[in-house]
Amino acid sequence: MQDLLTPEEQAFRDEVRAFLAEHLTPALREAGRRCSGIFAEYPQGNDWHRVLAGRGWSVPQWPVAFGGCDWTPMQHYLFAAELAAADAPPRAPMGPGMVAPVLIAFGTPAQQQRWLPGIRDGSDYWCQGYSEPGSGSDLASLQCKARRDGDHWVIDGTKIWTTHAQFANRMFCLVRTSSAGKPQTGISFLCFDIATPGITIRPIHSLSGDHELNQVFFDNVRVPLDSLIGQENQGWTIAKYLLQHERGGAYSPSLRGRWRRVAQALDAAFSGHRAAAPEAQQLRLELADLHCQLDALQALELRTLRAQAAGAERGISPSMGKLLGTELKQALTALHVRIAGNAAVPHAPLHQAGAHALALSEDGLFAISSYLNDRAASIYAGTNEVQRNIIAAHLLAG
Amino acid sequence: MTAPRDDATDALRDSLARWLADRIDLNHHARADAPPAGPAWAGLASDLGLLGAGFTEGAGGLAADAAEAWRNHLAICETLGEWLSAEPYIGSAVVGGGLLQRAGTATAQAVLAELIDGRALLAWAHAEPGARGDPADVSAALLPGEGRAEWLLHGRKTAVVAAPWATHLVVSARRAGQAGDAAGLDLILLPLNAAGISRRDTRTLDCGVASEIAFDGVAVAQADLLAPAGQAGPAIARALDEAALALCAESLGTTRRLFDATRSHLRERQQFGQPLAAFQVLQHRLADMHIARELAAALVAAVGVQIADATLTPEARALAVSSAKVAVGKACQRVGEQAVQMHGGMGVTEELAVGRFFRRALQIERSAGSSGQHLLRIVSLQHSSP
Ligand SMILES: Cc1cc2nc3c(=O)[nH]c(=O)nc-3n(C[C@H](O)[C@H](O)[C@H](O)COP(=O)(O)OP(=O)(O)OC[C@H]3O[C@@H](n4cnc5c(N)ncnc54)[C@H](O)[C@@H]3O)c2cc1C
Repeated sequence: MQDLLTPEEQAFRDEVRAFLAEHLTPALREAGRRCSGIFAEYPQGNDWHRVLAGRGWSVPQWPVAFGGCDWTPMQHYLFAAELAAADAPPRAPMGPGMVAPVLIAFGTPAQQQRWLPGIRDGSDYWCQGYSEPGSGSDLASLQCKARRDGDHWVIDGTKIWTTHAQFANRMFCLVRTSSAGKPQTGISFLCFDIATPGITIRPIHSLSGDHELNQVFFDNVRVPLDSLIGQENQGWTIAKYLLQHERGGAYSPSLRGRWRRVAQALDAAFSGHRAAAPEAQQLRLELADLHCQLDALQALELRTLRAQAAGAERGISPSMGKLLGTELKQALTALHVRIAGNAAVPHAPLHQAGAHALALSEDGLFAISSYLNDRAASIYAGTNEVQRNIIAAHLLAG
Repeated sequence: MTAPRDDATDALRDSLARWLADRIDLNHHARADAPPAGPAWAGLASDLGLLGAGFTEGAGGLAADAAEAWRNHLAICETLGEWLSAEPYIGSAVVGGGLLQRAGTATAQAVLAELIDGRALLAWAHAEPGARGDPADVSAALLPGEGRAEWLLHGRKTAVVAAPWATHLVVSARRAGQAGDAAGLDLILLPLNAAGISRRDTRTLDCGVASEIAFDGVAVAQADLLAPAGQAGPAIARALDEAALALCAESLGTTRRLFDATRSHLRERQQFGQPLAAFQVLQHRLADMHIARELAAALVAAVGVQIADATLTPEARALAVSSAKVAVGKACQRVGEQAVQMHGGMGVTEELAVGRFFRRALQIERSAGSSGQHLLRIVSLQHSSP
């Protein structure tokens, strides 16, 4: 890969590296290394976001007019790769990567002015209200409703799996504003403050024992009319636009970082272990196989990026990337657990690993925790079954 | 290939299931980090008289012969697996009890009698941090002592399941050679509260408890040994094989629950105006889950018959057990991961028992040798046999 970089790209990469060396503090790196969930907890993720904002790099993917960077696809890619390699805390995408593109494409200038700066500088933190208990893969069946009442929308119903709602101060939400016609035609897209009266949040604990998910209840919640993005009942178009962004990012930069980490764990687990040499060899073959898969994914992602820069449609590439990226991540974390062996049996918070004369292996705790969290990767952002359906439907259409 | 049916064993299984059903609420939302309920171990003896079922009459148990003892062991393990029970039956009765029974010393006989009536609970302290499943990978050392402490035990054991609840530990250590040598090993029975033992208790993946244990000059006398001095290798290997087979039986209960829950979920959950069961890709997954389980169940039953055969050589036993453990490993992984996936968001939470059964299946896959380690053992046994 290295050799393929142009001198300009190399210079850019070195600039990012120098910045990271100076600004990514040991505490932030540690938070990044200990993050076994989807992304870092709000405090660490947001601290890092603010550091990047100080350099003008918190939302590079946005148009320059809104504070983004005029980078080539390759620069975006290198930036993500360097962040992952340096163990930067992974930042939550709901604000910068999901609602922001929607606001830029569908929001009024007043809405853009109201919400985009807070996302860019890290003063606002967003959560995504799409799924409901009865509506997951079949999102169009959603029931949480909003009706007009004077100069307000009044929301009643519930949303579930709302990641980091406990940290968020803003929410974007799909609501049913009409029950006439096809289910897709009666949906609207609202943005509002979590602090609005009538909203309650119930924590949901995940398999790993972490708290990332929540259920959110709306009881007669009144939000101003200009919470509506785009037209009333146009929400489905917006939702699909957003999902393209949710699924569309490149996976290989962060996977490359994870691959290296698993490789280090493998070396450490078997150093000085002659008896277990055959097992080490077996695991190395699998790790090598994942390396090949990663090379192929990276090549596909770079080709897609270049095609998009040249104006090609996204088509099914977000779905393919989501499938390949999440399944490769799951294979990597599963291998990491096998490398950890017995060290993956205890179940304790990572920061407690060494806090005792009888230390636990922090790597073992990390391996099992990320394996458990990663089971969700084939479920969120549209399950992998649904992605396969989308790909097949596209291929068989016409 | 199915195991012979046996009314007594079925009755045992039923009474245990009823007893567990009264005590365990599978719909209870257990947090992965919540402290586990302690075991109801003594009740297994006093309410059910069940702890003697896996031992022959000669050893103070209830089974007529080794075949019946193993049928009972496996039925008990399968039922405990079905109820996500934290009862430390495998470490205490299968491994600990088996070693006591074969040791035959006066101490061992006395402790076995206590085990059968529910007063003693044993934990199996064999694995060490960084050890990779080789039974001889033992560094814990017996050094010469003096007086009653003929030896002093130093070393570290890891992930000792149920240790905080135990009365005794069964510890492997070496008096000669180095980690990886089959010769020079000992097996020692120690009270949990012996001087020089320190512990760190943790939750385990499957919501049980386990400990990291350090031995710092713990006094060991001749009477504490459960195998001839320096020659415990074969006893350790056998204990590990028996533990692996018992875990295989437990997995059958665990994966049955995962399968049943998934089948019901597919029938009940509606998306796109139809039950999930209408989607063919999910039907095929369910079929594959079933097949993986059926294969594992057939093999575990067959190996359960073999293991009771006194003429079975250690190599044949190892091959048979490894084969069962590999089949079970596949079933645990396939059934567990697919159950979670097909439950969607609900599957990755603590709100349903599916997640806890999944973690138990994962832990079974990892315990007493992972599938990968058993495959490698099969390779090495096949290459060493003529
Ligand atoms: C960790 C995590 C974070 C999340 N964060 C958010 C968030 O912040 N905001 C938000 O709104 N949502 C969030 N979600 C919700 C996520 O989008 C849904 O879980 C997902 O869409 C699946 O819906 P479901 O859980 O209802 O599963 P279901 O739709 O009930 O699906 C169950 C199973 O059936 C399969 N299935 C369903 N339909 C079909 C079909 N037509 N063909 C084949 N198979 C099918 C699915 O693939 C799945 O395996 C999150 C989920 C997770 C796990």
